[in-house]
Amino acid sequence: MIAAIARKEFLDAWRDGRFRIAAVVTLALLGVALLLAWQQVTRARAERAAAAALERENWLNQGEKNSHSAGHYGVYVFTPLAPLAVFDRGLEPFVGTTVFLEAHRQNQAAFLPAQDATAMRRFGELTAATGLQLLVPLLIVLLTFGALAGERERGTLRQVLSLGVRPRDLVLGKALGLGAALAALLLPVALFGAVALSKLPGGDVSGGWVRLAWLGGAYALYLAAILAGCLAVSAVASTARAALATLLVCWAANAVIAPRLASDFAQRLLPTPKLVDFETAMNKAVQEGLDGHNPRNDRLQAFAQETLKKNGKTRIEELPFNFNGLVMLESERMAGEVFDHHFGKLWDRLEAQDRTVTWTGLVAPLLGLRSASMALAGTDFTQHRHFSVAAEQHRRNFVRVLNEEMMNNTAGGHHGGTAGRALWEKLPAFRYDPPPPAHALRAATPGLVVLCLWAVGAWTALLLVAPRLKPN
Amino acid sequence: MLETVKLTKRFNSHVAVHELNLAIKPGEVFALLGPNGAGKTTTINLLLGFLTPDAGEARVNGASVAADPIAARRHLAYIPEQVMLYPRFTGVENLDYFSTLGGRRHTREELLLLLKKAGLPAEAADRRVGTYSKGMRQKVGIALALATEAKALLLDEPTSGLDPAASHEFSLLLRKLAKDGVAILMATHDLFRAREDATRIGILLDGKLAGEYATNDIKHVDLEKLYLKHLRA
Amino acid sequence: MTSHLFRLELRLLVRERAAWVLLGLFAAALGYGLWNGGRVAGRQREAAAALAQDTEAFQAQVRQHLGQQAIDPKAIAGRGTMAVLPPAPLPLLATGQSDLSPGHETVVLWRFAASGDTRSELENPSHLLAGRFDLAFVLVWLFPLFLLALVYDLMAGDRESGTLRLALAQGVTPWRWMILRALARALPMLMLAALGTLAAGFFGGSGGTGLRLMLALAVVLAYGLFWVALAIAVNAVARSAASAATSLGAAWVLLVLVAPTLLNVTVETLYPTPSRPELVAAGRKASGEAEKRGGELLNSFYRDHPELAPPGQQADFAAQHLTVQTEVGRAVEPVRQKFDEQLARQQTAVGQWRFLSPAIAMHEALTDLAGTGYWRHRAFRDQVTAFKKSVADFYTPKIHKRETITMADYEKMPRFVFREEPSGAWMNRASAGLGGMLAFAFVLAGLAMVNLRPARLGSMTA
Repeated sequence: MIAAIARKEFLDAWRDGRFRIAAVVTLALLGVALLLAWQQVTRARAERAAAAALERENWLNQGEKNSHSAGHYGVYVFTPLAPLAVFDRGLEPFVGTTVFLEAHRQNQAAFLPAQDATAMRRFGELTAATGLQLLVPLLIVLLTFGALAGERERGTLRQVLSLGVRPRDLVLGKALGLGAALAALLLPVALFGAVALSKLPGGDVSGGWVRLAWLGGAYALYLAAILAGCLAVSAVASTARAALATLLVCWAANAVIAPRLASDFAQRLLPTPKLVDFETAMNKAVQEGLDGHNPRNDRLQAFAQETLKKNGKTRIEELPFNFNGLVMLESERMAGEVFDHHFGKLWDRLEAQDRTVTWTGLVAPLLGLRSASMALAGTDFTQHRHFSVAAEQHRRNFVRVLNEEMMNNTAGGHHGGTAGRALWEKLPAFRYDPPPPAHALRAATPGLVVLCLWAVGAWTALLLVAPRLKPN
Repeated sequence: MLETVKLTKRFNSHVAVHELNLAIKPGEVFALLGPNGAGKTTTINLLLGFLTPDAGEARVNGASVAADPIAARRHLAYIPEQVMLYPRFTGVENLDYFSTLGGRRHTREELLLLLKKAGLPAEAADRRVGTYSKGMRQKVGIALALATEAKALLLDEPTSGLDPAASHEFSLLLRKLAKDGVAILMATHDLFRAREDATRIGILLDGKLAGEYATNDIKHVDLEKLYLKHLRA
Repeated sequence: MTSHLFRLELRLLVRERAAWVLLGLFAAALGYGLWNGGRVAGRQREAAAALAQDTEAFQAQVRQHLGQQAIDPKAIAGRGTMAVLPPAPLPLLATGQSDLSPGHETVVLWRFAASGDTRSELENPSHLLAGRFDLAFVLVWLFPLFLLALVYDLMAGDRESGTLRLALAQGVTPWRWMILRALARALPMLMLAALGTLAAGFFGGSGGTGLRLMLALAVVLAYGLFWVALAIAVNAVARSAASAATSLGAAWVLLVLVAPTLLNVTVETLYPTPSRPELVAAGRKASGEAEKRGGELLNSFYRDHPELAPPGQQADFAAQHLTVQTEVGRAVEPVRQKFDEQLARQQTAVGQWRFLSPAIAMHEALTDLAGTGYWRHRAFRDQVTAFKKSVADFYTPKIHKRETITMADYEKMPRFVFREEPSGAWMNRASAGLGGMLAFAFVLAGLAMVNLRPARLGSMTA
């Protein structure tokens, strides 16, 4: 019975000219989005790899110089672009592409791609992800608004029910049939996307397939929830027109208004510190200690005393190494603590904001999906943070090697000696391993939970309203 | 087969059907006459289980409709004034779909035969019903009743708006169904068709049965007089 | 007759509860957008004021110092001079790109080529991605939605229910009837949008922005008229209210949601900006090479500028560093310019193709008039580039000749003052956008008129 109804709905949907046009347009947009993104991401990845290689050359060929000067010369590293950015670019345009690693300072990633773009980008980006998030739900609205309300208006619902069909079977059959019509449309795109991704250099790294599978699951939950919700509205609405109006309002609230409102709400709840305040506080902590009562000079004095005691010497000149180097190491260590604390706090705050937005997804499912999608694609903030931490780790290692060189291989009292290519080569190039899928999955969990709740809620609602289906 | 016992339905304070007692046996054609708002469609809705009665009971095949509307509907076929079909499906596809919903699967050949029995031109069966006339859609409705082997048929103004030829054809089909043992309840304004097709006639006024006659006892002219008399009373 | 019909239509509207709800929601959205935009603008104004104050304090300090003794130019040039973009003229109208494009730059003599952090505020990237709930958002995205909710069914529903036959049987001209009805139903929403626009000037405009505000008002009304015209055109042919609603919804999605993003990917694919990472790495390479040739560069510099050679040709570290950096700047300049050029090409393409969708034209016009779009920021960057040159012209000779800065130089020290674009520039751009929208509206109205000719309409009502 359900199968017969599903089959009829499936055929009916495909015979609907409006649906066919909308489907073709949506498919074309999804295809264009995937192709263009593929091209852009491939280019950006190549550019960043080339820049990284050139930067390595620069580092190796910087010539003979004081090892501490080399610390100030520094190294630039470039944010990686996740292969799945082809599908969902996420935050990539809005996080910096370039991090300058230098002695004494932890810098944030600078140069946002969005700064080198026109205002059109602020309308949102056409990606396969946004297509599935915004346009396909509209397609569902188009497909479902009349499914029950329209039949009621036309009188076919009376006839169908007069035959002794269980309303629940009718509603479920419709849901399955329309879902199948949608799947017939989207599965080819999904396959095409998966194949395109596997052709992307580096596309298989960091568990590309695992991520893709979960992405498929997340989008399936989202669309299934929307399908059920729309049918439920169509089941209770008095006319097809009322159903359409209600569904369009819900769509606009979910797709257009909710992201901005939720983002504002999260900012208000957990404000981002001002840049000036952030930097002032950090500089102050570097100078006066994290507790603010322990000036740097005092700490370094104490450190000198302690070092002398440990080595059994009374004067710095008697130490068997260049004490300046050790001081450098120690002050880097102290500054590192401050950076970890302040950047940690800032990033925790940003992540908390993002989580807040994800949980407001309980009101608008798009927010849950968006968060899960970005996390799984590897373009969310947690993965940018993972990179930033790795870059900072690299900075500390490279500064440590330089300072140890100063401490062990140069005369006391000097600020290091001249070093050359031999030392520069001792410092490995920055290699970044993107986090494993488990990390992405953890970051995606709140979003996935939100989506599960929506799917369960929407289908429950549908099953609850189904028995009360009114024939007129 | 179709039975109502003190069937009562109120909408707010308005009583649409009041303690109505009807009994239609297999092979009978019962015509329900009455002005607009007399409660004819409400009675049909109650028999279909689309409405639940406030008092009394509607029974199909001896079982209460309200208790198990689905089971009741399995015995019924319903043909409204406008048989509504899915415009993007052909006649055969519509019949296939609806009869499957009614719990009967048929082969394509059987479906075509049923449509032919119902009098649908062979060439029309594979056309989308968006192009069908009212009479053609009604034939699909009849074919559906045949397909589901309905034991009772509920008709709501089936002949209004049909041209005389189509109307005549329709009544031939009805009589054939009745001869095969189907109980038929027909709500109508068409006095002529009522007298021609029905075995019994009931006149419904304000939800009450104001008179009940066997058609053998009355001529057409009498029926009109009788009807108007009841109205003025 | 006409005015009576208009009043009757208004009365119909007033009796719809849904209309009141829609108007209330729209007013609330406008209010929230204004308030939210005001907060962003307020923060930016504070930041700009703080920077300007810093600059002034430093100037005062320099002046005081100069009263006692001369100053080494390296001290001032090394600290840098702040170039600050003053707050936008109508920031409440649109936040635009102002949360992304840095509104200030410290111009340091020997760091022209170096590229530092480009952000002026900490922002959650997801907040940037989501966009702002500002007035421009309400006007570009929501205004048409609310408007269409009121006017999507001008005739289609009557056609469906058969009242159209009844109405036309009375001998009313369908065309006039529809226009009257559309205007009556759209009027309250248009008035609210106009009020919101004026409020943006009233609460957040600096002086002398009247003209900008009037143009913005015209643009907003033209945008509204476009959507009303679209509703009329669709209703002239739609067979049911639901199909009119679907068509108008689809039009909104295509024009507001899809067209801008399509345009974005197109211009980015056609005119890709060079890669920032490559620019950075190339800059470092040039810098390394220039440093290695430092002495040689300085010698050739002195050959070209013997008048700047210090006594005894003994260059100090500062002079050498300066020469190296100037060379680096020269080496990187073509790549940097390529950025500006490509971005300018992208923007020009957007300017040309904004007529693809009134939403684009509207957004461009609003950010342009608000002063938070591409053009004002472009003017700022151009002026900063010119300013860098005047800083170089002023300090470089002094450093080479090891001259000091005295009180006599104080007035001549380069200071950055932003000059707004000539009003003709933005007026031209905004009126082109306005003209485009009106042209669209007229074309649609013409189409509707053709379809509403009695000969055609007859077949549609049957």
